[in-house]
Formats: sequence, structure tokens, C-alpha cells
Amino acid sequence: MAALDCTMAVRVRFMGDLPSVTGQRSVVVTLPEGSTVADLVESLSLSYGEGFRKRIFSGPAKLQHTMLIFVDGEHIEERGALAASLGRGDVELYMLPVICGG
Amino acid sequence: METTQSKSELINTVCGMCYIGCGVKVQVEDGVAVNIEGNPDNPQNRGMMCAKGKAGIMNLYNPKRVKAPLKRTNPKKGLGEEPGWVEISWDEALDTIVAELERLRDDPKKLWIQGWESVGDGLYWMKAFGSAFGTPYVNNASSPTCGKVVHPVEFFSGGGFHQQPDLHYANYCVLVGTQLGFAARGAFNHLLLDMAEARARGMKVVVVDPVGGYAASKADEWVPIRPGTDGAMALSMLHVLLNELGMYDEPFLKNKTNAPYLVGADGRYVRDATTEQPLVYDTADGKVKTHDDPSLSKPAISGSFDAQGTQARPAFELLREHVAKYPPETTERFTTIPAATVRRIARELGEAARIGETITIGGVELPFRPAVVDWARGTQGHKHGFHNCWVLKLLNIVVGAVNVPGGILSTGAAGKYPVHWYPEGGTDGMLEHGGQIIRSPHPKAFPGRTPTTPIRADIGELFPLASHFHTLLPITIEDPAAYGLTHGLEVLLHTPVNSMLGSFGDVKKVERLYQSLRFIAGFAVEINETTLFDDVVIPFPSYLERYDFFAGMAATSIPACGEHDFHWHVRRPAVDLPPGMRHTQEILMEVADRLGVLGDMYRLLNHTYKLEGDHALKPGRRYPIADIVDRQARAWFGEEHGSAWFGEHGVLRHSRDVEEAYIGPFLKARVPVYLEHFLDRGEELKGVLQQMGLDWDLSDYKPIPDFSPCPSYHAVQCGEYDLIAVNFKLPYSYGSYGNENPWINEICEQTNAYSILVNEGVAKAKGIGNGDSVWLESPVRKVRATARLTQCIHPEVVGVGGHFGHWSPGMPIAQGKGVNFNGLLPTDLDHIDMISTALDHCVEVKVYKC
Repeated sequence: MAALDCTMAVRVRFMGDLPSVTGQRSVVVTLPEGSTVADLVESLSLSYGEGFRKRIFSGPAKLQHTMLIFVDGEHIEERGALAASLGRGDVELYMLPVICGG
Repeated sequence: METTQSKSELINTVCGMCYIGCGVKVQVEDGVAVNIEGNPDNPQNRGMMCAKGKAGIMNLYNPKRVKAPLKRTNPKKGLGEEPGWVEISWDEALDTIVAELERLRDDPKKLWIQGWESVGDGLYWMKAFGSAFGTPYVNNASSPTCGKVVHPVEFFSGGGFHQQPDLHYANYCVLVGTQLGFAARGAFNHLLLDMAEARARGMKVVVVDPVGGYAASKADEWVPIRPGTDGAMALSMLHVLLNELGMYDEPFLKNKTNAPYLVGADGRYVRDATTEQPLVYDTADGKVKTHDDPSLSKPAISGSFDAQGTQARPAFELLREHVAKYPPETTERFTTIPAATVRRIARELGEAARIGETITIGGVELPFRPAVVDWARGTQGHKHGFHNCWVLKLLNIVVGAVNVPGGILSTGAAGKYPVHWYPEGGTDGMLEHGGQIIRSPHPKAFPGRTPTTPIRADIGELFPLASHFHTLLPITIEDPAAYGLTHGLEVLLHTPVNSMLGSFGDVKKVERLYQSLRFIAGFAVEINETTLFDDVVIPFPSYLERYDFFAGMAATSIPACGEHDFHWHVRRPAVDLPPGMRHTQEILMEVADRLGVLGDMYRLLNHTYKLEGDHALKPGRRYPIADIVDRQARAWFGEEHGSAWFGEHGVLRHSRDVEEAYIGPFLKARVPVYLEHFLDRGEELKGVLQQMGLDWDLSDYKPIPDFSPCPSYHAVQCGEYDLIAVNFKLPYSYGSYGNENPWINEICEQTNAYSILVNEGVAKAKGIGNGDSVWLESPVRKVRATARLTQCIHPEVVGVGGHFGHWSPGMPIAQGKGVNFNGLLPTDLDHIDMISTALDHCVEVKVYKC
């Protein structure tokens, strides 16, 4: 029971390219209290497979520059990037198109 | 008798006749715009205007303008099908659109957004809307060529969005397939003056182009070249510089590029076993060390060394060895440029670069490299477009003329006001993160993405180094199963683009693409060829009626480079919207609200425009667009600089220092001469393709540029066709709504712009005279044209100017004039650059009398 008490429900919503990758617009993930965005992304990668991981990372622990992650409405760059805590557990993952020429 | 005092106003706003955005003052009499003048205080155009800008009033008062929502009554769509428009209410229009989008709520990837509206905020609003809805298909570019190569290359080799010669200091300028400073490109009105001043100062201009157009006619030298062979010429120039003349900037290559990175027999960097960082050989102490070792003093760029138990050579040595295969005599048969000419231009470039010299600007001593090679769309649109262009950039890199006075500069890459932005290094110490004032992902080909089995209908996953992929859609919809695709696109929402005419190639394939869509809604200024496929049409305001905080790209991505002021201006309406019309942003807010994605759209807009605290857009509220633009201005420039301030003053200027103007010496990252990551992406892609049972030519996934001719070259060699058609830009019509404007049309008629250019000698041999009607026949289309004979075109080439050949009845002035060039282009993977997805824009043709 103690272990269960130490978990949190993280509500994740997918936007931009991601609903077509996950097949879902949102999901609830249960993670240990104190988990970080990196833990969440790792959990999502296990759930959605290598295709998901390959799309969102450009290298080890390096998100593609098209990825935007907000926790409780705040961009994770303001909260420590992948090391950011999951706060109240409202997370939005966007994968954006690039602005191009022509 | 009573008299009424007429009301006269001069309104500060921003031109929207192309993507640049010049500062203008609009004379308004009793609510009617009667004249437009350039704003002399605006550093973008310094009071100058182009023909398009002056003609903007005619678009505003176009009697054929769409001013009310329309619905088609003819369900059949296709070339030549009359839509049977009827006017409908706004409620019906938006109810219909919302209902169609609601059908995709659980499967949002079936929505396609074409959001190329770079004139104003629509660029970012459409992206935010599409991303909030959950579709991966948001085109922020619509051309099949432009920007496919230059932006990703510039971001990894310069740090900004585009490249631009430093016209303040350059003494030698080679323009390849571009008319910068004469007829086209960003900061147009500004660069015309800079170019004129540079010429008066004595800068030599060499234009390499199949067409002897506006730039060539004013150049010191025009070098006609066979289309698609620019890379061959550049490889020969590199050979001359590196191997014959030994002209290269050794300190720059050693310390600011990956030239010293040691490369093993497999083409990969040799890496430190612990840190995995690339290794270099330090001739100062004879040790192999990582590129970022603080003790590194004199990195070797030649030789062969033992590193990690293997023999390795610096990347630069591999480049030098590779280009030795391309002496000018070997490429002459492709380019048709005499070897002596290539050799002379290479020498002139190398000598003009003044390698080793410095200049002091603002008290800072900087490298001085007043020689530059510039290129743009003409070199990108080829089967091997990436390599064709990258080697041209390398010419600048080897002489050290990158982001220093006189060299090639990166646009919009850095600044300190109103926020700080600067390019940064990343993987392997290389330049990886570009600088941009607006927070939005930029095109990027380093280190690329890991290819995967495609989900996307445009198979973007199979192009891991490309920035956008929509050009592939007409190809993939022909046989989705061949790519393992399980879904197609169903609904299209587009801005006033004309993709039918200019975003793809073979018009029959584009027709099938549009026919495959269940529902299309489009914003429209006029009923163009793309609008003819719409189910619902929504009127789009003129730039003279609009509010835009982002009012064109000259203030952000493609400003004038070098020692120029940063500037910002805001578009404010000169005249009221016609009765019943609405602002686009307000429409998007309503649709997003009804779909339940308004808060998510705001989240992205707040992030993109950095709207925080009281300035941020709040979920649950909808705002008048005037309010949003005002809060954007206050958020960026302080409470005293709201929208009204811009209305009164027109433009806000801020001087830039040397670190912003010439970022090269200050950049804490290296630029590439060797693209090692191409090998990994290519191998990964090969594995994915094998799983899919596809056999693609991946020979362009190589770290050093190479040359291969385009399909048109082979077609002409085979003898089935004898000419190659290319497109070129006209200064009075490019990047704009085009020749439906009567003033623009008049210029086109007076300059014979609707005719196709045929070499005089070739035409006479075919019995074709000046003004004759001819057939222009490509492998996919045959069109009637009027021949204009000239000596100013390569004898193997037919020149098709502008963006013409309209057939829409909604454009009666433009209808039936000129040739739609894109419609001539074969559209299949054999004509797609396998790196960038650019569509080959040189096509084999026959020309004969009607």
C-alpha cells in the first residue's frame, strides 16, 4: 500500500504530430511521486514503442527541436528541461512543424 | 449650400504585397486609400517601394475580390469544373467548417493545413490552430523548391534563416541561380540600394545563370550554365582553390570548422572512447585529443594519424582529395562553362577574399573576407538539389567568408533587443541550434531525425534530413499501399495560397490530390485555381485592412544583414473592412473555441510570441484582434510601445553592435565541411526501406558533396528532347498575388513577360520567329506559348518567367496569359531530391511552331 500511496497520476495530452503517432489525444500515466519529465517520456516510449522514441529524440536525452513540453502550463525550459518535476501532473506534449521558406 | 470637409489621413502601416514587409504610409481620403508611399524612417525600405507595393491599392479595390462566404453547388471537382458559387451567411460557413472538423476529432491526422501566409500573423496562427487540433500536416511552406535547401543548410552552417552577401564590404560577388539585389529575395527594397552602392564602390558581380535576366543584364559578367549543373561548377572551383592555388583560410578551417576532425576508413569520425567526442590531431604536441580539449593549439587539417588504433585523416583532407576528381576540364561537358572561365572565377574569388586580412569595426578586429558566393532557389530545384547547393556554400566556408565582413552572412541569426537570441553549438561541437527572434522550430538538417516506417501520408519519415514534405503528396496518393500508408487526408483548410499553380508539379496529379479530399475550405482574396476546388470560401482581408504584429519577414527571418538597425513595425488598418467581412484571427478563435481547442491554440501563441503574465491570451476568452496586437507590442517593447505608438511613429529602430552584425568570430560552435551524420541517416534509412521492400537510390547520403546530372540532362543526351525549360523570377510579380492586379499586368505586357524566352540562334534553326505561337511540350504537358527570341539565354534552355498561366474565371485580367511553369514538371520520386524533397525544376521540352 505504501508504494501505491507514493504514485501520481499524470494527465498527458498530445498535440501537433503526436496524436498520429500515439493514436490517442490523451492518456493518464501512473508514475512514482517525484518523477521527472524524463521519467514520463521514458514511460511513454515504453508504451508507444521505438517509433515514438525515435520521433521525439534527436539523441540520447535530447529532444527534437520541434518538441515542446508544458507542465502545468509552463514550458519545461523554465523548469529544468527534462529534469523538471511533473508538478500537479498536467502535461502537454506538442510536436510542431517547422517554419520554412517559399 | 452646405459643404462637407473631406477627411484626409496618412496611415503608418506595413506593405503586404509580398512576404518581406516594407514600411509604408497610406494616403486615405474619406475612408478611401488613394496612394501608398514608402516610409523613409523604416530601415527595411528607406522610403523606397517596388511596383508591387505601389499597385497594392488595385488589389484592395479589385472588383472580383471575395467579400462574402461562398459555397459550391457543383459537387464535381476538377480542372474546368465550374463550382457554381452561391453566397452563404457566416453562420452557415463556420457551421459547415466546424462540422467537418468535428468529424475528425478522433482522427485529427486527416486534416491538412496549408498555412503559407507569411505576409502576417496567419503564418503562426494557422500553425497554432493545426497543432492544437492535432494534425501533423501543417505546411508553413508551399513551394516545391524554395527554402528546401537554403534554410537547413544556413542554420547548420551560418546559424540563421537565409544567407545574404555582405554588400557593405564585399568586393566580389558571385550570384548563382539567384537575382539578389536586382530582382528578388528578402529585404528586397533595402538590398537594391545596398547593391547599387556596392557597385558604385566597385564590387564586381558575376551572375551564373541559364537566363540572362535582370541580374545578369547589370552584372560585370554573365556566365550561362546548363540547368542543374551548378554543383559541378562549384566542385571544380573548390578543386582550383584547394588543390591548384592552395587558397583557403587555414586558421578558420582549423578552429571554426570540423576540417580537423579525424575520419576513419568507414567515413565516421574517430571518437574518444570515453566521451565519444570527435578527435583531432594537435601538431603542437603531437597528440590526438578531443576537439574541445582546452589544450588544443594547432589542429591538423592534413596528414594521416593513428587514433584509437586506427589510421585516420582530417575531414578537410578528404574534401580536398575528393574535389581533385573535378578539374574544370572534367565538368565543362556538364556545365558548358569553359574550363578557363571556371578557373579564372575561382582565382578571382580566392584573391578577392584577402585571406588573412582583418578589419576593425566598432573597435573590434574581425576577419575581412570581401568575397562571396550566393545562391538560392535556382540551385535548389533539382534532382540533386541538396548537393548542388551545399557545395556552393562550401566555397564561402573554405575561404573563411562566413559571417564576417564582406562574406556571406546569416539573416536574423542574432540579436540583443528586445530579447537575446544567438545560434548555439550542440552535437560534436557543431553549430546545431539556430538563432531566431520568434520561438518556433526552424528547418534543420543536423543531426536530422531517425527514419522510421512512415505514418505520415507524405512519407516525411523517409526524409530524415528534410524540413517539409508536402511536395510528395501527389506522389504518395497515387499508390498509398506502396508506402504502407493506412490513411489519407480528408479535409483541407488553406490560406490564400495557389498551390494548384505553384506548390507542386504535374497539374493532373495535383488535380487528383485535390479531388481525393472530401472537404476543402479556403480563405480567399480572389477565386484562383486552388479556390476552384474549395467547398466553402471565406473572404480574406487585404493587408490594408488588417492588424498584424508579425508583418512580414524582413523584421524577423530575412532582414538586411550587417550593420543595419534592428526594426519592428506593426500592420494597422488603413481602411475599414468591407461590410460583413471579418478578421482572420477572430475567425480562427471562434472555430477553435467551438472545437474546444482555443486554450491549446493560445498556449502555442503565447509561447511563440512570448506573451506572459497579463499579456498572455487566457483560455475561455476571445479577443478583438486589435487588442491582441496591442498586447503583443506592449509585451515585446514595453507598455509605452503599444499598437497606437506604432500607428503614430510607424517603426521602432534599435542599433545593433558588432556581435549581432558579424557573428562568426563570436560563435561558440564549428561549422561543417564534412557532413558525417549523412552516413548514419542514410544507413538507417536503408534499413527501413529494406523492411518496407523499397529500393531507393540513397547515393546522396554522403558526407562530401558530389555531382550527378538531372533527368533533363539525360533526356537531352538521349535525343528525345532538345531543350530544358527553367523558371525565373520577375521583380514586379514574384512573391505576390500576381498579375490579376491591372498595374502588374500592364508591366508584364509592356515587358513581354508572358512570352517564353528561346535562344535566337536555336529558334531560327527551328523556323521560329519573334512573337510566333509555339507549342511547349514536356513529358507531362503541352501548352501554347508565344516565343520571344533573345541572345540572353543559354542555347539549350527555354525560359518561363513568373507565376502565370491562370485559367480561373475569377482572375479575368490574368486568365490565359503566360505559361504555368510548374504544370510542366514530371512529379515522381525520380524527380525528387532524396535529401530535401525538392522537386526538379528543370524539365526537358520540345518547342515547335503551332
